[in-house]
Amino acid sequence: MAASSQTGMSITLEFSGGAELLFGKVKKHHISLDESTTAWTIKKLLIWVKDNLLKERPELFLQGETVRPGILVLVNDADWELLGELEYEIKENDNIVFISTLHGG
Amino acid sequence: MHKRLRFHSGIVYIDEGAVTNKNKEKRLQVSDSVQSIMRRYDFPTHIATLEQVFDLERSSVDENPTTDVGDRVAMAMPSLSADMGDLTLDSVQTKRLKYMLANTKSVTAKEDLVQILRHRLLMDIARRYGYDKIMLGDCSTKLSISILADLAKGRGASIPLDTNFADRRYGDVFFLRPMREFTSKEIGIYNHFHNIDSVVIASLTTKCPVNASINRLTETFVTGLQVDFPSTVNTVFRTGEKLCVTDSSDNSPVQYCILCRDTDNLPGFIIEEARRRIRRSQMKKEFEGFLLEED
Repeated sequence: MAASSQTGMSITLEFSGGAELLFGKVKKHHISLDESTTAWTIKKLLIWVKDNLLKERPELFLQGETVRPGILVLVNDADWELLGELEYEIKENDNIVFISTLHGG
Repeated sequence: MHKRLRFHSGIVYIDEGAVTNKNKEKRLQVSDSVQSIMRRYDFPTHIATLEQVFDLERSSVDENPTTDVGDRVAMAMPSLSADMGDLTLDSVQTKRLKYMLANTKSVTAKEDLVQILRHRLLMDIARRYGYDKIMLGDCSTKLSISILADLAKGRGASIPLDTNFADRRYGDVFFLRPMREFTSKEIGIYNHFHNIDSVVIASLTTKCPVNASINRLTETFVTGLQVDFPSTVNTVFRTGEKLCVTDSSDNSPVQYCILCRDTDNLPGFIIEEARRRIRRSQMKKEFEGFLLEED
């Protein structure tokens, strides 16, 4: 794929419904993922998010290697359950949204 | 947006800043952002703070006013738009609320108390401004969590009224739950696609561990099951729907607890079972000291 040969891939992450509280109250993040030999899956992205964006209490956003139940994930406005969830391969300019439906965010 | 509604409705925002110990500036800031969203819709708006519940006349909530609701609804809808600035945020009542919560031991009890006070305030606002129905935003996910949490808290008898479409316990004003057929996922996705703005307001358990309260723990349990078994919410919700309280044998009028609207108007065997369990736990306690001595 052409995407993996480019230097860096820019995507947008959005957090809402209270999930943004764990990300310094910033809803929208434009990020650039480094070039990598293996494809950027959501699984890999979540580890990156945990190391680079998440400000506090990782256990309230992640559970194991996936997101905590009750947090919806939409990739380009489509439910990630339709796209293979953790195995989805991220493409340039993807917009990934995390919406918390949990009480108190 | 609301052309299909055949009745006049208003929006109420109740500020709970005192519960989470927010200062005045922070509370005004949150309320400003809530109001700016509320103003985008053509509904009359009402702003209140949770501590105002102490200003209520007892009779305004607990007794059923004799005036006919129909007459009061027919009155012209006043355009009410109280400003948060007018509301006192550091009053004696604020201190009373904080004192009340500080003396409520568990987080579970605090959460339930806040909900009870909210409902009382809503009821008062409804009566004062002539609304005969109060619509709550509870969705099926939230209701199935409350069904299980209520069971754990020994409030099983209230489940039908706390989770069904209409709660008529207050007599003249009903609590309705028009969103009860939707899951939180459906609502979350709807709001996302329609760009519906929201304000995140920290609650008592925001950023707390998942076992901070019974409600929170039950939420984790239900949403966790829902991932692998997507019919969880629906099953709990539909099962809860089948519960109903049959009247006790005598025909005395139903008595509700003034604070939590719970009732002891239950079939005799349930009351007998409750008494038996209380006796058992008392006996256990008495035995405890005795058994320790034997060791």
